[in-house]
Amino acid sequence: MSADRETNHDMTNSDITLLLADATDEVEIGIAPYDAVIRGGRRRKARRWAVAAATALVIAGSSATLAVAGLPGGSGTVAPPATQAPTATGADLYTPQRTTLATGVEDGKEWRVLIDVWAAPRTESQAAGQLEAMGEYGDVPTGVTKATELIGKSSYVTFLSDGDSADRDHRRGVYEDAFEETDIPMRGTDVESAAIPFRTSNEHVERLVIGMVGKNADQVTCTWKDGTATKVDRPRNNAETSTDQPAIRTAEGSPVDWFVCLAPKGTEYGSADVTAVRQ
Amino acid sequence: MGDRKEARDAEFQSFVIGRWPRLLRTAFLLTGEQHAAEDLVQSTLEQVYVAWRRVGSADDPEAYVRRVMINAHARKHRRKLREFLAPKDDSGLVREIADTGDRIAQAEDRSALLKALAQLPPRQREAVVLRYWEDLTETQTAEAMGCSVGSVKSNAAKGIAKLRAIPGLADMVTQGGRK
Repeated sequence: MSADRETNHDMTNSDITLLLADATDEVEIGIAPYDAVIRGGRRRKARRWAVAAATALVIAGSSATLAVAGLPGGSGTVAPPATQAPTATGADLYTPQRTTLATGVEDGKEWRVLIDVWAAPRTESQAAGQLEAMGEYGDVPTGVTKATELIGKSSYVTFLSDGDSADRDHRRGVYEDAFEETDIPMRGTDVESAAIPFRTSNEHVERLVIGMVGKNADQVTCTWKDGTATKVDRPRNNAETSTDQPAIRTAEGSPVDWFVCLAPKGTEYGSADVTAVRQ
Repeated sequence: MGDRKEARDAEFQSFVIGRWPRLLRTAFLLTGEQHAAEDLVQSTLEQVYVAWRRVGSADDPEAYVRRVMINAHARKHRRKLREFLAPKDDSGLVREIADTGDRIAQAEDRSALLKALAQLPPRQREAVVLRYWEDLTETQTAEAMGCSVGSVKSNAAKGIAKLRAIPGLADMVTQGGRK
């Protein structure tokens, strides 16, 4: 198997290898449970991409579109929402790192898309404290019932908010998932995106697109169903850009970058692709 | 698009079928029990499926899979291991049919080794299994365990030392194992 030896294996260590190999003869190998793996994998995907109802999720290069459950409503007290990204770093486990990804005004009504990223807790007590804090922010990940499920994961949620408030009563979740150390970094043309209806009252077309890309993606093109397109560029040197201008943005605590596109009225989401990559 | 997805699915299926035996053996050494090992590998492969689009095209998918498995093991099987193995010890069953000779002696050796492994702290067990069964370098083991090379050296050395300190196993080791 591996070639380079970094320490000398004496005879006894080779014998340990033999004994371990011998011990594995106890295992009944059987047939690989491929179908069960796929079923379990799909369930995990659905949980991972727990997005708002009627959201279309598209993973680049895949024809898979998942319709999955909405974010939990939850109950309990509502904490005053943070009005700007907290100054705390990843060391603060009990306050999300909040970044505004986009803002705008349509029909005289303000909207914002935000992301909350929670630093990964390492211990059970940290996780318990974080789960409680998440409850106050309305950020409890779907399906998480025990605090220990948060350990080692940096959970995040992206959501659309009406007006000034970002509390649970004034927002709709789009993405939620967790970053883990085992994640393979996104790069090149990797893109994952989801679309939701921008307004729910009288509009059901999926106009708002939120997506993630790697750190070297320089441009994303959102193509709408009517054939028109919106290009979203990364600002030069990641310069600060007003949130009412579409841009590929970094988010505090996030190992991937984010973009938001809004389709013009009368059309809807078609696809989102990385169309320029920094060499 | 559909063709690419089909090709990726076929690639994943081939990966699962091809790697299942080896992953199961590794999981068995980590967990000490057949069903726990199957659960660990299945759960690992489910996670790999979710990320397969990127894992499959990565330079070293095996490294990713190992890392997922070690993480899953650390999370899920740490506290259960001793319970799994405890009832197997001192059953007396093998002694009642001891006339089958070498096969029984070999089974006892295996049982002694698995019991010894089970008594190691999880990080030492992982280091021993990855270094001496998976035959990884210290660097590869460190990547799989998400720790430093120094930590791998220390955990593997302590693990091996504890295995050698177990009387029956020490004999087996010095004799090169009974085969």
